[in-house]
Amino acid sequence: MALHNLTIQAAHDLLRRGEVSAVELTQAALDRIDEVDPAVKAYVTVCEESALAEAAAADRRLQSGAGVTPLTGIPYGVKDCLSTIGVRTTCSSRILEDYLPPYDATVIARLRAAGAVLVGKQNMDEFGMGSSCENSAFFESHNPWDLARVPGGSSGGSAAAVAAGMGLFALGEDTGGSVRMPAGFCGVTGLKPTYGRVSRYGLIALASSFDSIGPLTHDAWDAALVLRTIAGHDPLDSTSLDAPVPAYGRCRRENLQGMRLGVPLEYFAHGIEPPVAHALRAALDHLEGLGAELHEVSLPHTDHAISIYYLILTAEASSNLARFDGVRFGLSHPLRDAGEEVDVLERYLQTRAHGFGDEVKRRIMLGTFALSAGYYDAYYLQAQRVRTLLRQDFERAFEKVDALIAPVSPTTAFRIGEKIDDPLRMYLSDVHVVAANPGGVCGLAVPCGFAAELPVGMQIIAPPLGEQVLFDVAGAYQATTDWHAARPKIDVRG
Amino acid sequence: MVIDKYEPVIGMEIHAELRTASKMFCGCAVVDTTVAAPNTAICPVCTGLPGAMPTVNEHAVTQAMLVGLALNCEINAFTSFARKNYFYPDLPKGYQISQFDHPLATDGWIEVATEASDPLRVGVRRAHLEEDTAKSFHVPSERAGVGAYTLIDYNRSGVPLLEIVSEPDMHSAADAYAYATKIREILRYLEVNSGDMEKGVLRFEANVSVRLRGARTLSTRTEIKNLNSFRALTRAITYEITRQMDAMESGETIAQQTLGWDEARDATFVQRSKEQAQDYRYFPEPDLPPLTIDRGWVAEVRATVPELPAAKFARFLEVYGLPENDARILVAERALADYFEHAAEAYAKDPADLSKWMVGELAYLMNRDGLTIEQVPVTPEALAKLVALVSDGTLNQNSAKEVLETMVETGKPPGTIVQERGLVQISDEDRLSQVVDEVLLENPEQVKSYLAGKTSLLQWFMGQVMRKTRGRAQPQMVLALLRERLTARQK
Amino acid sequence: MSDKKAGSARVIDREQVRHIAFLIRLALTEEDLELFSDQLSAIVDYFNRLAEVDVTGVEPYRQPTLPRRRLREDVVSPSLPREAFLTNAPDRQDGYVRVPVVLDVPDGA
Repeated sequence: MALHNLTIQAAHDLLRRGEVSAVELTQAALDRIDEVDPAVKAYVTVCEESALAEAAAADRRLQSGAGVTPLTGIPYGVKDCLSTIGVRTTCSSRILEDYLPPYDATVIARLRAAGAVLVGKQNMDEFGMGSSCENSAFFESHNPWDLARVPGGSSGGSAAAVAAGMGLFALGEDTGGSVRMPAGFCGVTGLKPTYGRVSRYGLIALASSFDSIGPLTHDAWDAALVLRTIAGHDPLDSTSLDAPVPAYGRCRRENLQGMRLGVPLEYFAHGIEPPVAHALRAALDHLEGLGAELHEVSLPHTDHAISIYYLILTAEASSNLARFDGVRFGLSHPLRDAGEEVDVLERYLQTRAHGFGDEVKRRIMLGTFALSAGYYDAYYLQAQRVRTLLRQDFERAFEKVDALIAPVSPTTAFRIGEKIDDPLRMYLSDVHVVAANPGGVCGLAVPCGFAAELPVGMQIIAPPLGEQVLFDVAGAYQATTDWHAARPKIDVRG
Repeated sequence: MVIDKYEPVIGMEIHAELRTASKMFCGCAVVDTTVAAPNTAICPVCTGLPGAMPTVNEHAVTQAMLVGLALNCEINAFTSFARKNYFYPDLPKGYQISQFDHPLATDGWIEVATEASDPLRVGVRRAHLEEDTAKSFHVPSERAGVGAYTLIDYNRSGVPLLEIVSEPDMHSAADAYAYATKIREILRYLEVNSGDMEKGVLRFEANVSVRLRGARTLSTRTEIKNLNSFRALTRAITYEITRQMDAMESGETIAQQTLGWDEARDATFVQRSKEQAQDYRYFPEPDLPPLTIDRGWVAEVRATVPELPAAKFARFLEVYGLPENDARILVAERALADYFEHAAEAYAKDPADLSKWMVGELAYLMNRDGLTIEQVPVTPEALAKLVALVSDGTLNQNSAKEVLETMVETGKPPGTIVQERGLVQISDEDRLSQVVDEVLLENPEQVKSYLAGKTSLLQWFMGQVMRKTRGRAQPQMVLALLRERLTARQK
Repeated sequence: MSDKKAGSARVIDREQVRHIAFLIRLALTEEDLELFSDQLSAIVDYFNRLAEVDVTGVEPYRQPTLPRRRLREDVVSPSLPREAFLTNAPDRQDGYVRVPVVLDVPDGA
């Protein structure tokens, strides 16, 4: 297999045995970016120089043998909402086009300490608002399996990069499916850890109470390796959990004997394209064949997940995005407008009008509405009440089963432009992934087949801090299937 | 009188910066923002950089609890932070982290001494934690509207702030003044705030309404913001009460407004009307989980609440037998009261005599030299010694004042100064008789006038004796001798 | 939803959009008002289904509380170098961040 397409584990073996150097591995990723990114457009910023320097440092570490981790010398990219010291961090927004963070996000610092090599920053829907990567202020990203289609969103650049071999893994961020959904569309493995499992410090917030940083990889064990490195309590993030971090992925199950898997009725009820449903059915049969017991379960408040999610998300986002005001950083409306002096109010109004895209404007207005006097109880507070019920749905289900199996999306990747003019329809495409975030659970998307040559994703959902269960189920599945090993052929001539 | 027809109703909000080492939600140092170079105590959190997250300063919570307990508040077991959303250049995140529906402390009260015979009890509705804003400096332009700009220093951004909200239990500017003074005194006692108004560590807001005397319901109120001195507080409230009474007299309705105070014009001005009222869109701060305040923590803090001024005042009267006025002055400042108690330990014989010296001569000298009780180089023991020297007749009052002045200037102990200057009082009767006789002999004219009835000359003879003894004569004895000798001549 | 007539029973009318946009300091054109009024109304209309859920006796969700030991110790950490902060500032002067004149009255505090 080409160097740019390796799993982390395979690359680590080669590095440890000295058969390949970190510089070669990084160069292969950079070459691949040169080759296919003009067509895929996954990266907003590529840091070639610093990546090669980090790779050289990783090689020295590998030679000395001291402090080598499974991620030492592994090239990766991150969604452009994670702060990287001295490397511009844009959230794919005009308002942050030239912003240089003076500090690293905790996850970046942890990956740096482990010796991983940052090759660049990946495109996304502006501030994470979108499900297709079409809401980037800079350019759309393309699905490596079919360049006319979206990679999903909002971590679309990250999913597309991993699928296309531009970095051996990526860090994405999942607020309501933003890792799992594009992973499904691009045929890679994507993890949304339990809220609080991974520090958010340095992540440019979309919805503070949902945002979860997670890896996009080629398989579940790679995801486990990355999670092991980035998980754990962070004194800088008061919402991070202080539960101990197990050695994820170290114990691997051969089969699923005794594993109880729930099939939520509501997730299979309607609107799923037949080829997608077919692939999932086959996957369920396969899991049963591995020894798992399948049980039907019900999550009765699933229908309300979209409303709960969008109301709380937009409310928090409207406040989180208030800091983009043209005062301390980022885009700022010029002091003089056609010779006229501008006062600070005008600067706010114009900076934000020019700096934010339409989807961002829509959502922060929605959130402002949901929090405003006279509407707070009916919208924001009602959403938080129904959220309690949604969480209870999951709690009840997990009394009976160890994990749930569900589709990632009702369809495969849609065409660029297909839904962009209908925001509500776009929101509804997240129907199977949003519930996990307000629900407080963790989830993993893994490839489980193809429909018309486009990847289909299966979602595994486990109770809070049940990440190891996700890896067990996905690990056993991937050990006996090869959907995850498929790589797209990219037509770079466009 | 119009004033008799109406009753003003006043409530106050006091913002007090807490004296922690680091800021409310980040590790940046709390610095004196009137001195520190701009933007030198900042980080991603307090400048609102993308991705930065707040963490709660445990000591700020402890200090807030201490104030809450001193104000007789309930400390709530569950307390949470909320975001108050609004735009202003001194507010980096576009929201202020504050507390809304679950404040740390609620339902307290304090008693405030006023002109009325009974103290006024003022309810404390709540005390909650929040973060201070950055400091803006408005630079006016030479030409109106052109080139004016604002400079922002984030050193103050994120400094812990305690907002203390009173019930509308005050009825005059004097009540409000007394309440604010009391709060300031308590904050200083608890050593959580310096009370230094000029550094802006304490800021006032007042809600004022006026109703017909005897009415039970509250009328429309106005809110006066940014009252940053006691003078501004008193004058603004007085102005506002008069304005509202005049308006009511002439049949106008009072509009619910937010007002500012124009120091130069000595008048309030409208900042915002009710229609323009802000919609702050409070909601729970998702970056900070709510806090559990366990009862052990409350008990721990309660044990550190010092004796407060009111209790100390009562004790000073009871235990030391001080005059009320002296006691009031001494308890106003914890350091002053502590100083007094140390001195009284060294001179238990007559503590009232000590307090007389403290609030009199020592206070005068400290004031003259701009010294605080912590700075003055006179130890409580030294002051006690000085008072003892007066009491045992070694020094007379005038010499003692001279000695104290030297003590304040040099820090030397009183004994040394007395020796160096030879100030020991002359109370030897034979020596003094000699001097008195000399004076009478040298001034026959004055003696004649005295004997003719001009008895006020007695003081003049006294002065002559003091001159000859360089002020060291025991005055009572001199007086007695003068009277005795003059009476003898009369016969 | 775009076939709805302007001003017809939209959940969020143009004036409300104007008010909301001002609260979060967004300048909108007349066309924006029209478009967002339509789109937001359709979305809020969908959200209104949430009101049908019986939430009697159901508490709004809130995060588990933090105990005292999880709070930050009152210890000073070093300041960010001023230059690292000011380098991103659109406008600066003498170590300060500079903004246009504040004509508008303070919203808060």
